[in-house]
Amino acid sequence: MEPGSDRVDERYAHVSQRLNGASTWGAIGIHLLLALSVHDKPRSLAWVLGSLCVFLPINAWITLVLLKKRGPGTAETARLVVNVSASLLINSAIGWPITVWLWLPFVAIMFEGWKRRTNWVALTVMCVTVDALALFQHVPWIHPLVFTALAYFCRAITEMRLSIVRDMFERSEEQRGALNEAHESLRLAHDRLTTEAAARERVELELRQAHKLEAIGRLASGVAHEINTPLQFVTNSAQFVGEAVDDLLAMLERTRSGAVSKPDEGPAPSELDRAATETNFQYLKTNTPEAVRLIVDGVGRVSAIVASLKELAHPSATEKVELDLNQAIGTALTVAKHEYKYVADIKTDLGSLPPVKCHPGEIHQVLINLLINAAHAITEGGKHDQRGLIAIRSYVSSEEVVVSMSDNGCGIPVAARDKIFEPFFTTKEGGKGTGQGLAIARSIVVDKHGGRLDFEPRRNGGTTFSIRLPLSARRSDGGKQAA
Amino acid sequence: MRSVLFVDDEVAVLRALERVLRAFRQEWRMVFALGSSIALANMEREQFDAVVSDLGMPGMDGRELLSRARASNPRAVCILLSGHLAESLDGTQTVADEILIKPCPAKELAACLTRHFAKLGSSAAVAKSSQEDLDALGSMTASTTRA
Repeated sequence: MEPGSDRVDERYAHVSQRLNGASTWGAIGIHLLLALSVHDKPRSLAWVLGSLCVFLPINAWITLVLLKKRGPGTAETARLVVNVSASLLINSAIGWPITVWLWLPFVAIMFEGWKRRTNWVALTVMCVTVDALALFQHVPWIHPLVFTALAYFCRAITEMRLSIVRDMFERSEEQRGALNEAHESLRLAHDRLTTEAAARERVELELRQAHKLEAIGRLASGVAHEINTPLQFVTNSAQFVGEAVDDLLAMLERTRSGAVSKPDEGPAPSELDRAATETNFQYLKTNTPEAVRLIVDGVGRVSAIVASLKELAHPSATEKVELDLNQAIGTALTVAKHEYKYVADIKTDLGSLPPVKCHPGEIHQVLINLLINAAHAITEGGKHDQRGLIAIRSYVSSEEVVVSMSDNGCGIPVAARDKIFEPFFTTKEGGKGTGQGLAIARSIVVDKHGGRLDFEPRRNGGTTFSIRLPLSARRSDGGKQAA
Repeated sequence: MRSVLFVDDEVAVLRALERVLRAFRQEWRMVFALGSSIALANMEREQFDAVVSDLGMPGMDGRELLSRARASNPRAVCILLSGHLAESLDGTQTVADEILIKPCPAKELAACLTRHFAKLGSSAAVAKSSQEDLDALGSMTASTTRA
């Protein structure tokens, strides 16, 4: 509070200085009134004007020099002595006209300082001295009484006014201090927030990368399985076809040699052998083409998966490219097949869609994420013997392309519905999810594509998630800026 | 004659195994079950000397199926034939005597079964049967090499 209190004194001193000007004009005014009241008596007039010329400069010197040099105590004492002696001298000379009593309240108002006991002492000394001399010189008692009362009254009012002014100064200083403090703490808070926001952004980026790696790892394991299964029957079938071709060639060879009847072929085949050969031939006749078909199917399946992986591996370009969302859904279904195929069937209802400008890798990520979530929800919903259903629809609705994905799984608990898009929020057991998936999906759809990602619970249990992407690039860019 | 139950949720895998293991039809009685529920029904009807199962299947998975097989026949040879990457197979070692990774050539699968059957066998009959298995394997390997 010390600097604040210094400032109060400073401002108070400034106000006092301006009052000093008023006191000079007041003194001149009172002298003129005095002069007016004695204008018909040349001797008295001369006294009055003389006193103006002598005492006004003295008063000015006290105010301008002595006050600054010695402080208000000495200045007021000097002023008191000078003015009381002057008034005693002049009043005695000009015979106490009533105008002269104006000095008492005037001086009482003009005492320097505030809440100073010496001011009251000085006022009392002045009044007593002047009144005593007046009464001694037979001035009617009512004059000193009235003006002494007026002087005390004026002093009291002045003290009150000064006290109010000073209070106001103090309060405004306090407020200024509080404002400064508030400003400082705001600035600190702003700095802290800026730093925290930067740190948070960095952490979020790292988390997003971690999540992506985790998802890739998960998918890779599933995709490996989806590739290894067809490879299993392709390998087996290829071996079978190889052996079958050997057997068939041997049979053919025997038939040819039988026709040519070479002597070194050994004894002719028995009836039993011929029957066995016939059975074997019939078996190979039906099974070899089927085995070849399995090889073709299996290789086709592997090729389809590899093609989908190529879709996914779109470099995350900074520029958006046109993407057929239906194709993206197909890719997601292929790549994430391992995540849902044991628990759910897929029903698709894909409308014809115009291409949408987007970051394909990220949109695939969102679709796969929602697909995996749906599969998890169905697993959680847990009727062991009953397969769930994931229904995927795509359609165009008023300048938007909508992809909705419904599952009949466990649904989202009411308490969790407000929080599912928050980072780190998860209802899954430890180790099953980092709670990043939906937060990232939302950030991709909303922040990067200016779209919407909503969900609503289904009446029969389960949840429907909808991705809405704007068709026009303008709106999408707007969303980007807003983010 | 040893009996072997093959379980997978892909009919193509079973068909291909059935064809490629045809050479063993004199040594083993092979039953092919599409999915774990059919496999369980088969296991209720008879005891198998070996069960070769896929891991990921709708309903009951291979892990649980093999532990059921082990419960009903403690001497059963339990083999897991899975397309999963090795690291996702943690914890299956306890239920399976052997873990084979798809794609697994028929040779390898047959050799594995034969080895375990040989380990099992202490009686003369079993020993004889194993010898036959080995012979069959030898002829099959020869035929594959020739191919």
